[in-house]
Amino acid sequence: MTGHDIVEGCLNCLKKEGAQKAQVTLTETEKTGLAIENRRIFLLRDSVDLKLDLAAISADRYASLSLNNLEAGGVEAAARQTLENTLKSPQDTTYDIAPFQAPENFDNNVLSPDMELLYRRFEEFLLDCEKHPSLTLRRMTRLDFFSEKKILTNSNGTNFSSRVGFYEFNAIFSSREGGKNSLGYFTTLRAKNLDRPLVKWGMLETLLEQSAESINTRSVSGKFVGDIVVAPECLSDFLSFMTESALRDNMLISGTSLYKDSVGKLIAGAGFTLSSEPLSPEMAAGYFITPDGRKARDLPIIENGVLKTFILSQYGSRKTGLPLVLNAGGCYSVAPGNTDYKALIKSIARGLLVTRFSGGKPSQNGDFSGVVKNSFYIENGELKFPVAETMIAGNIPLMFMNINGISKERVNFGNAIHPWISFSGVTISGK
Amino acid sequence: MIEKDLNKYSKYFDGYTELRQQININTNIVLLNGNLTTNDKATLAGVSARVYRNGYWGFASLPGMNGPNVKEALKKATKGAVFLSSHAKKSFPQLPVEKTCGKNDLSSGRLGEPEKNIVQFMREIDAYIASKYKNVKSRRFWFTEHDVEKHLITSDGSDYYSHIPIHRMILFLTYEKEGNCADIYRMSGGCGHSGGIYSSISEYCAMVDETTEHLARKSEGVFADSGLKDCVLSSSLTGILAHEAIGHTTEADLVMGGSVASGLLNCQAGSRLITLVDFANTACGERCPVPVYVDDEGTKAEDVVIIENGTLKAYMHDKQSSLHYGAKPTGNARAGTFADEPLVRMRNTAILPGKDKLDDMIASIKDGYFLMENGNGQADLTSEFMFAVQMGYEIKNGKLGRAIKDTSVSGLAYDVLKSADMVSDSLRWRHGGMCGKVQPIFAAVGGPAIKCKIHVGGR
Repeated sequence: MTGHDIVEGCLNCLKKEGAQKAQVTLTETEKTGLAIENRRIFLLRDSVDLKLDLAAISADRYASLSLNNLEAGGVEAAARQTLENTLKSPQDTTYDIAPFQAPENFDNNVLSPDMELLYRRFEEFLLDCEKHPSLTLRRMTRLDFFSEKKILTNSNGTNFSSRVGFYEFNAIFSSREGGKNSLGYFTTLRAKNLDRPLVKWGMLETLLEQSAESINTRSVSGKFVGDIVVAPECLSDFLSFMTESALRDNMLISGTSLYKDSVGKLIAGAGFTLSSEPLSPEMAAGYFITPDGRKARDLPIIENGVLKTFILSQYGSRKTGLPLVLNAGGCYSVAPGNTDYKALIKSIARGLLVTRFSGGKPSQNGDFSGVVKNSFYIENGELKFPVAETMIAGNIPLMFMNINGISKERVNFGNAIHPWISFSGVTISGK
Repeated sequence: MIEKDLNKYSKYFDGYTELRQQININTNIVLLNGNLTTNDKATLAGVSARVYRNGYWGFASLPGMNGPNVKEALKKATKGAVFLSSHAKKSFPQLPVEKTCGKNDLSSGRLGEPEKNIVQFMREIDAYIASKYKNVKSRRFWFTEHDVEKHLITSDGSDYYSHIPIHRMILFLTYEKEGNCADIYRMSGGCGHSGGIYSSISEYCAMVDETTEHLARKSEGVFADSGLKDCVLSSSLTGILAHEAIGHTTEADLVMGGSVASGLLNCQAGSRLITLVDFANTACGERCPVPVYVDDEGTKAEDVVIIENGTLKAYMHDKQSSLHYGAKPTGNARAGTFADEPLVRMRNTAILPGKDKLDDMIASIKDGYFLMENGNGQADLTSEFMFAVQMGYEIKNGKLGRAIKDTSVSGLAYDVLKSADMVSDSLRWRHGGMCGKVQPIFAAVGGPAIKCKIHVGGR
């Protein structure tokens, strides 16, 4: 039985059980890779899975269900259970599925791993790490190949299929010398091929060097309001207030987003442009189909500081009456600025280069606080020393309105492309 | 269906082998301002095999649990271990032998059917909040039930079946009044199926009333004054400190990865008032929120006394780390789903209670904070941590003062524990927490309140 047979059969079961509208998605995944312990490759893992997602609407009631065991009778039972679960839902005319769209097949043309090369690249990485004698790699450091095949169909006649594959490298490390440790470094990078050595991916080479430098840290003295340059590695910690909260369903449905009336208005510095680009060839881990069952499109979100749209699901859009977007978020790209990274640092009188941020979830108005890690104190335009036990606090919407500069250079993580951004007006406090 | 007899597959074992069938049924329901935005049930069922050869592992997993898939998983895992060991420059000894057989079924006999009662429960509470608290602008309930059934056999002779459901409810509230806003989430739950646990509307409403009162104060609250402060940490914060900032540094795989605890065995790690334990399944005569009886390597789960009267005494181990350190496996090897290989994980981590009364602890502080509810938290292997604080009060001259806005605390956990000079007399668990070390998995945290010095963030 093919994947198409399974989803068609399942859709028919849902209709037979009484679904007025239904969507079925079959996702087959495989993750194959290697892991490190104590500077040796110690684990080879191969994980195959599949998931059949069923969604049904009956009498304006909704339920979804998924299973990965398609043995005899499993699909029929799942369809029956999905319809039973709709009875537990309140009635809501907002529930819906995607309209008819012409059938399409999508493919990023990365189909299977080159295991020999994967092994060699990982060994090469271990050799590269020998240049850093104080480096300790943790057991969860791993290199995997991930592949996903998806088939989606719905009762309005939409039929899509997609194939996506990419390599994913999780590097987790710290440095240790003379009984002293640096803090931990964590980076996740994705790429469509293994053409380049792993140390050349993302900011890895820089981070390996910084790890050794960060064994001996100092706390910033006192408390002051200064500038911070946020590195690409942790820009998403600040962007996510917009992209995962304030521009999304929950805060817009409840009416608590401070951007609820801001479409068409300036919400960031004039040089700031943000888009979600799942279809970009630069995004190794992109996607072609949204969970709502629509053909995905790249989405400009903020252009030169002006908010262009929210990132609402079909449900969120219908519930709020705000426009639907053909995009599920993620794959965020921040446009490059016109300043060199070095010039950004040079322009700062007193502040921090922030490479990692560990903070609480910002409050609804964007207030945040937390501790910076793997970060450097800047004075008179120079990086002075790696900091310890140094906290920052501020307000994220105000930070984005107070952008000093954006670097020309950007780093591609495979699921995001970020520059360095300099923000002013952040409270910095040491011991 | 999980098979009762897995030993029929043992003839396919080649060297040290673990074979596990596992079903996870996850129910997720979200109600946002009266709208049911998620009504989902997901079943993950499959088989995994892990094979050890000369210090190298092969792991394979497949969906479904039929015989051909079991054999395929064993074949792939064996092939992986052979491939790596054939490339190896060095070989390692055999793993310690652990044999445990048994069964623990904590389910109510059903495979999770909580939706209708839970949705009804949520809607009633939601209506209560909407009618009583007009300043609460956002009400979001998130219910989850994780129903985990597994059967493990190993080539050492372990044969263990368990069925352990865990459920939780998280309530997120946002309060707005005259331009001031504040938010908070409260988490509840426990071990077992959810049926009946959420039947008491009045009890839950009492928690809502108390939370909303704190929220109203927080909306008019002040920013904390940043710096090193005398603070009383509630059991919620004590628990997360024990798990995130101490516990992870003493997981033996992370000790091997360079954690600060690597040089601290039998050294001072806290004040003499501090004893910290990772409980396997039973604490103070009662079942823990996340009971583990036998781990996913077939080792009987034992309590690990990590810090005893201020001295670091032990690490948590799986078989491989116990081999490295010449220690005994402690039953801390846990896997989240069938597709996960076991890792060293905590179970129920808590600081043990002392003899002090909470009121006396607050009264002993001239200028500081009572930090009541934590938000998210992270820590490094140096034990440097950051925890969000979503509810707290000033302490001025021994008395509670104004509420504070969201803040965070940070520091080096071992230094914070060394500064602890009072420990309250009751142990409270925080139910429903999950640990995110590679694979998300339930892990409980708990403790008494402690009085200590800690770095508070603020403006």
